[in-house]
Amino acid sequence: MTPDEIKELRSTIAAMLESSPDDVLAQLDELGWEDLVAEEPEAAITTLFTEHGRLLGRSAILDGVVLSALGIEADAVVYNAVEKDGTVTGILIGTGSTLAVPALRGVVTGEVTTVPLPNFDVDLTWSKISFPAASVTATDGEWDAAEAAAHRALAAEIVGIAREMLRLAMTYTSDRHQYGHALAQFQTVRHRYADAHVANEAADALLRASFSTDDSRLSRAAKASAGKAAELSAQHSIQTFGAIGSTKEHVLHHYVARSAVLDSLYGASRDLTASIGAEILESGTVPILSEL
Amino acid sequence: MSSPTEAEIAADPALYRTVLRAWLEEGNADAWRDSYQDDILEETKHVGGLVQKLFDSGIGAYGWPVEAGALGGGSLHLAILFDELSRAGIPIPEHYGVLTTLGPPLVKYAPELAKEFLLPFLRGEEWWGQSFSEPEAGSDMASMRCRATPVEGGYRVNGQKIWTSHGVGASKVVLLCRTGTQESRHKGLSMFLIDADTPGLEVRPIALANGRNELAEVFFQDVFVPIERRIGAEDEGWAIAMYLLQFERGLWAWLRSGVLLHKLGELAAKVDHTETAKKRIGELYVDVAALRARSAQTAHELAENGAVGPGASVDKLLLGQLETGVLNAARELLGDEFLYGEDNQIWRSEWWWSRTTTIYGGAAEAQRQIIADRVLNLPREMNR
Repeated sequence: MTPDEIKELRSTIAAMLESSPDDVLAQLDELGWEDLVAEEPEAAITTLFTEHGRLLGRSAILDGVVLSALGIEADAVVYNAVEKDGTVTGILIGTGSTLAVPALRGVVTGEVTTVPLPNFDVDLTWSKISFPAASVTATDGEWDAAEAAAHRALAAEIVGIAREMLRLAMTYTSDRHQYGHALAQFQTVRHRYADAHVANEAADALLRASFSTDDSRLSRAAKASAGKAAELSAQHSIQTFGAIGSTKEHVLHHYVARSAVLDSLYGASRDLTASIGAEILESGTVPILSEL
Repeated sequence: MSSPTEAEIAADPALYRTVLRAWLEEGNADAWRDSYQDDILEETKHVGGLVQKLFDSGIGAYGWPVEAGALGGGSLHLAILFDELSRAGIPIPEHYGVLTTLGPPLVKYAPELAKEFLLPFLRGEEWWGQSFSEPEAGSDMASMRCRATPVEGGYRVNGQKIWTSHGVGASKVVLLCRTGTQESRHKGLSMFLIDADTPGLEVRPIALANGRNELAEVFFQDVFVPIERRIGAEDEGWAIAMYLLQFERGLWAWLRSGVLLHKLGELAAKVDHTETAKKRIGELYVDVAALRARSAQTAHELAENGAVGPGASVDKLLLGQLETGVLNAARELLGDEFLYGEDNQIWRSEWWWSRTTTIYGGAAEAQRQIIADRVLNLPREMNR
């Protein structure tokens, strides 16, 4: 896609997310989304999810990406599933009766219990789901591809949020004066923003590179890098907004909390990083990545 | 299949990769696998042998113009050369680092000089130094005072330069110095290519804390430079230096990312499999993958547009974080093994060198300033 086409796609998606945030999946269908993803995966996925992040979208589009990559019929996805004493618990974002459970590589169709899940991000109405481990049917599907697709989508969404936090903070401190100067004129503030920008750009470069390979290390690295970048952007934004950045009234907390909970899905930044490290130590080799 | 012609290889970076990889797989570079020597001058001369072998066999002659005695192709060819050497586990000769930054401006702004002088450098027979920094002008390059005064047939240079990488043993120096007034700042600078054996030019080594003479001071006392040795126009030096720094921040970052990937593998093979090691090695792998992804984008931009914007400072900062990060991890994870004994001299030595990577080519603080000013477009810093 040309830069102009991507720009147009971005405004189409932004308009869609803003006008009918609860009906995103149906609208994407109308847009011919499946075809676009098949032809231009990088542009389609990064644009949709970056905008979804920037605009704090709450739809279950991540389910769509996972299920489409899996190639199995299901209504929604159970994230972060953990089995203990015969019971599986996890997080449910979407709704439905047939649920894919990536952590167990299976599908659950029987009786499930869902309760509202208190969330660091108070805007989200995710559920805590539990069901007997015995009701999970092991199912053949593209589980690895689905994981990589989820990592790319989440990385894009988190980068979108990280950049927006930084933009908000820079706009604010360019106007806010103390000691006779705009706060953004102080070197200590400027250097924080430069560091956050560098982290965001690094995550974005990894994300884009991850579309050109099947090596899951790059998609894991992209998500890990995005999580870390968002943490840095959050830290510097909160600090430079002053006390206002930690108030309920101000918008910043929505982005801070959203990036944190998205980071937790499908492997948190620190866990993905450690898993890559463990593999390198185990195999004794460091694979050369991202050819030109 | 008939072997591809030189013109075909020059036009097709992917084909170049195939030919180069085959050449390396034949074991042609194996003699340079362990090149580290305590004496950096000996090491540089030694790896010059690999540069020469690469060039003479044709395989190292891409990425530079036919007019300069090479075989054509562009910066992607160079990026692939560095990539494949790293993949094969061959240390990248120091010559290429300097060539990658000094070569492009010479080719663009002084094609006649490139035609006349670049060949011995490309062939590994000699290397050049980059003399930009001064004792009173480090990252603040525009305040430099070393001066070239016009005389009949050329210029006389007086002043002092410092921090010239590989200055000891360099056969030529690329000098950036003042031709305008002191107040003209960056507008009054010019660039020259000067023979290191010109009377009045003296090179004094600076040993890093690791004991190696990695850097040098260069003194100029009435050094005559013929007018033909000026690179670009008089007072055009700043623009040329900025052009040069794009390569230093972009292509050099790609070169180093390959070296660091290799280094990370060496470290991983040495450390105990603790939770800390998993975390640190994993973090560094993510960082090196990010640098490679980013600098590959930059290399493509350089190849397509011949220029990258101030965003190259992002590559530069990522590189510095990674260079120091890998050696910090070595110190942390190897513990006493890092500090003591013969075997790990190279890690200690490289730890010291890695400290310079957030300084040279514009300190990390100056890069952040560039990003704040020209990428993020923040209001100008106070007191500046």
